[in-house]
Amino acid sequence: MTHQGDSPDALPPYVSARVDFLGDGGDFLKMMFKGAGLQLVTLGFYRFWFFTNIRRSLWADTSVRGDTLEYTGRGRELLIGFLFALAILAPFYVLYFLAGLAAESWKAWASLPLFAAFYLFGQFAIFRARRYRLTRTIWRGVRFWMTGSGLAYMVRAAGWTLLTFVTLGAALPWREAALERYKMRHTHYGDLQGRFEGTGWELFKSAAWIWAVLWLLVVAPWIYIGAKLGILAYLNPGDKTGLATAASDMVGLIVAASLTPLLAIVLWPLYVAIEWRWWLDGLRIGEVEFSSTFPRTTIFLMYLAYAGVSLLVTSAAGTIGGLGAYLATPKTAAGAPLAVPHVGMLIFVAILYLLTLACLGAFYRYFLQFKVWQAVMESLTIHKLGAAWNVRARGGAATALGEGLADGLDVAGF
Amino acid sequence: MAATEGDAIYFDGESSRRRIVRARLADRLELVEQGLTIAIWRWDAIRRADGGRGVARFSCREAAELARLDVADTAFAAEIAARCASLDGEGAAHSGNLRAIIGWSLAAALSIALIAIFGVPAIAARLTDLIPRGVEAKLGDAVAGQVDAIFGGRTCDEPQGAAAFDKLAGTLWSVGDFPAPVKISVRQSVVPNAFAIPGDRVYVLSALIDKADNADELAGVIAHEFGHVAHRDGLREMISSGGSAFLFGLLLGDVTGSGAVLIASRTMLNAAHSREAEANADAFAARAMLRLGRSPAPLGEFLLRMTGQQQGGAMALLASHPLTQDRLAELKRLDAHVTAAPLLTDGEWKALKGICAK
Repeated sequence: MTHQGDSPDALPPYVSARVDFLGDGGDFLKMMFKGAGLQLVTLGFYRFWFFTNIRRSLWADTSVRGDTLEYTGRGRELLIGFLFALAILAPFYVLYFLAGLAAESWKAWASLPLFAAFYLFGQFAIFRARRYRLTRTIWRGVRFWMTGSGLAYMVRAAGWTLLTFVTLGAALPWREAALERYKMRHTHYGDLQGRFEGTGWELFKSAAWIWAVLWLLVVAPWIYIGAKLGILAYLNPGDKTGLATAASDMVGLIVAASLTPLLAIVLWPLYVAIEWRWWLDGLRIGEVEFSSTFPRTTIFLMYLAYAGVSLLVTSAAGTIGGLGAYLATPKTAAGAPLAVPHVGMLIFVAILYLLTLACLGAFYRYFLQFKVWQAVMESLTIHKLGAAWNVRARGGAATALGEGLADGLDVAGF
Repeated sequence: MAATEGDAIYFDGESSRRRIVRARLADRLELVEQGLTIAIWRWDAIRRADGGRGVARFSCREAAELARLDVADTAFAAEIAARCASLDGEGAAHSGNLRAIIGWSLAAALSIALIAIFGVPAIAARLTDLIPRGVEAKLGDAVAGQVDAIFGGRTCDEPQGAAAFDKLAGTLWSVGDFPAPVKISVRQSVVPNAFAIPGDRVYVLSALIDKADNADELAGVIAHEFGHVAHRDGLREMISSGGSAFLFGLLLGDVTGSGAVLIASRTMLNAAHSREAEANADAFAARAMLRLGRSPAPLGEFLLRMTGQQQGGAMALLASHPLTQDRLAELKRLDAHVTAAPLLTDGEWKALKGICAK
């Protein structure tokens, strides 16, 4: 739908508009399969162009009052960003290796805490990658852009993450709010400055029942047993019988521990949906406001759909693999299979495995990128849009270094 | 007759103002707003940009970077496109040149593979000579930590068995011209294996002792591992596998190289030394056995019994301890008459067999 009748200054400042998404699921899925195939052929190097094309398609199908977004990033930029990131990361890896060696010679697995260093790098990368994407996002011939410092963001993110750990997750909503405030107040569209009006308390309230369930079923049993063990050890130092009675509580602990992944699978997507909606509701760019009706079940349902399709794909692959193995295994005279598998068989299994992974990747992107993007965009209403109707262009394009770092560290989504 | 004028929406790239213009197709593309020509684009400079569905969007290399022209009328958009000589040239939105991407990707992969196969082992060989024994000992400590983690740290040390084992190892050590002691221990495991790690350490797994028929067989294996220690094969292998893991990590992009220590030491424990290193260790073992007046042939027979007769070809290359017919033949060739008393008495051998008893 276009609105070619709008004259330049026709839009009253208080007009609201829904966001339209015109994407076609079939087209997108086709693009995902083609991309997955090319990823295999190029041993993964195609990803720079693949991710660029995904963004181009999602952006171009997203329309605000008839004017579509445009993604102006290029695959080549991502490749260059990745090469620069390598130049930075390679010496860091060597240092990391040496530090890890020192730690490992002290105690096995002692090098694992050094992952913290990668976490810091990852936060920096997330900020800078966001800046790259934002400065490649164009609407009505004007770009979004970003100021702020990746290092300052990194320090904030690390501090808040530490606080979140210490408070057993309670500080998470305030962490999200603080980081979004930082990112959004450094976000601009032309000469409009962004800000974030969501608060940690609001997010906490919307997701309070999730916290209640988590603490009751997961955190509390651990604290209870830990405390009991501690008290017993304090009262009867050297007495093992106290520990033995405490061990009977282990049954409860094991139940709690086995519940944890189950709960995570259900609660995490629900929480993410709540957070998305909270985030969209809190967005402001100049006078422009956003609100969302994003349903809290969407992401959970998409995960469910993806899990179902994955099950189908893997069982199909398993059937094909089993059948192929049965037909191709050389038999002795008595009909018993020989112990040594044929080389051709190994290659067949390897190819089948790669194809299965490619298939799963394509469906993952379809359900958790395309469908979620679609649901988010269709849930959005933009208020006081007139404020963005005639803004002056400002800001320049940022480099893709952050994207490269994010790629090298395997953080961030799309 | 084709249209030479049509409606379009123009964004000047200076503001987000949407301007309704007439686009005139003359020797250049002229954009006219209320009778006033506001922009002129040369056909050569016009590029394709991503419009939405059913909207053709154009940019111009010589206009503002983000200036855009949206044309909703498909036929009219085709008229414009037909006049642009390099619509998909430099700066245009396109999906990437597939042939070039595939070609360069394969070239890069080939280059990395060649470096990993030929370059890394060569570098590892040079580096191994440069790394001081003290540093190697540190590396060994790291790997030893992994060994403890994998095998639960249960060392077999029944006193009489341990005495016999130490005697056997000590005898072999004395003919190896080692500058420093080799730390050797027996670990409880159902896997019949023995291995050397950096820092002059050798591990013998209990199942191997269970399966050995006599002291010469076990002595041959220990001497073989001593060969790896003398040649510093563990260190070389660790540098080599670490370097390769790092390179392939670069290729795949998402392997962070994090945990390279873990990867390197794990690979080292699981994977084989090169065939050349194995052959050299065999030769070292054969020399040691001959110096002690014993035959190296039992080592070959024992290895054969442990790994089964292997056919040549791809599987033997993949196997972790490739016992090729060549290695076997070489050990057989060195077979010699036994000129000295057995390395252990019957009693000592029995005690050694029971080293894992509590």
